[in-house]
Amino acid sequence: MQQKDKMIFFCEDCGEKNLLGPAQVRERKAVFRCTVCGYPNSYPVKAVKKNYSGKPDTFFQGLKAFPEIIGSFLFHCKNGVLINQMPGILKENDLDTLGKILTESYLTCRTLYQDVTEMAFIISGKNITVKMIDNNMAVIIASRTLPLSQPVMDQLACLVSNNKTDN
Amino acid sequence: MAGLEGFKQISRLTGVDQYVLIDQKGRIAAHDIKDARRAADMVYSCGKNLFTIGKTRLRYVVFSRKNQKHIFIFPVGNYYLGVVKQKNMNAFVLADNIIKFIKGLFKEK
Repeated sequence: MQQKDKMIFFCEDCGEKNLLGPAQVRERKAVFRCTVCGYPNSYPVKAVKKNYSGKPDTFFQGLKAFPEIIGSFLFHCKNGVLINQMPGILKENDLDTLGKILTESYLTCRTLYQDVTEMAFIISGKNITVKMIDNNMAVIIASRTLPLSQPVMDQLACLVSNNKTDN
Repeated sequence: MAGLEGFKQISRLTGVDQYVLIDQKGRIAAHDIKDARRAADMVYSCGKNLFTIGKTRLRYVVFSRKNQKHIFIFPVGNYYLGVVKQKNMNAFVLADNIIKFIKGLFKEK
């Protein structure tokens, strides 16, 4: 089977990526044993909304629909906050500081370990996920749970992939 | 720091591949990690930065890697602990085990 026919699904137990072929997704249900931890996954797969364009505006608007998401923002290392969907209690200056510290830490780690793909910051009751979509721009998502749900991960992967294509 | 010798037992925890413990001035207190100085600088810099956001509520930070050998940073009193996960270990289980290990050390004190 060609690589392009496969889809990425995340293990419900350990959160690791698994590549599945169409045969493992039947009647909108993904059934597979995780290749990393061996957990027997079986969960319904939501159809990706066809109107999702993979563009940042649509992505951030769409995140609001997921109950585990507290808020999110798009941060540019030089230009600051570009899109803001965080709770109103946080001012723009707070988000600039938060974005700066998170992206600096991410990039510091990546200078030593070049294969870093994501960063998660865990404080009691909240999690912040940071994913760079290019050398300067990061999607920052505050959530109640970790790992993020499959549809969120799918849309995030789509955003990153579209951004790479655009560049 | 509660017993550095006891702390070194962290390398025996299932799923721990490498570790480095850094004090508040960036000095290495204990380690079993490749390229220790560079790893220590990274852990110190990230740990210090991220602690300014999370303060005492910070549990840990994890950097996911393509090779599955994720990097964790934990605040441990006045120290920062960096851990490299073994490839086949569940990241969340390892994080919980390390937190338990750290709590255990402080209880022994």
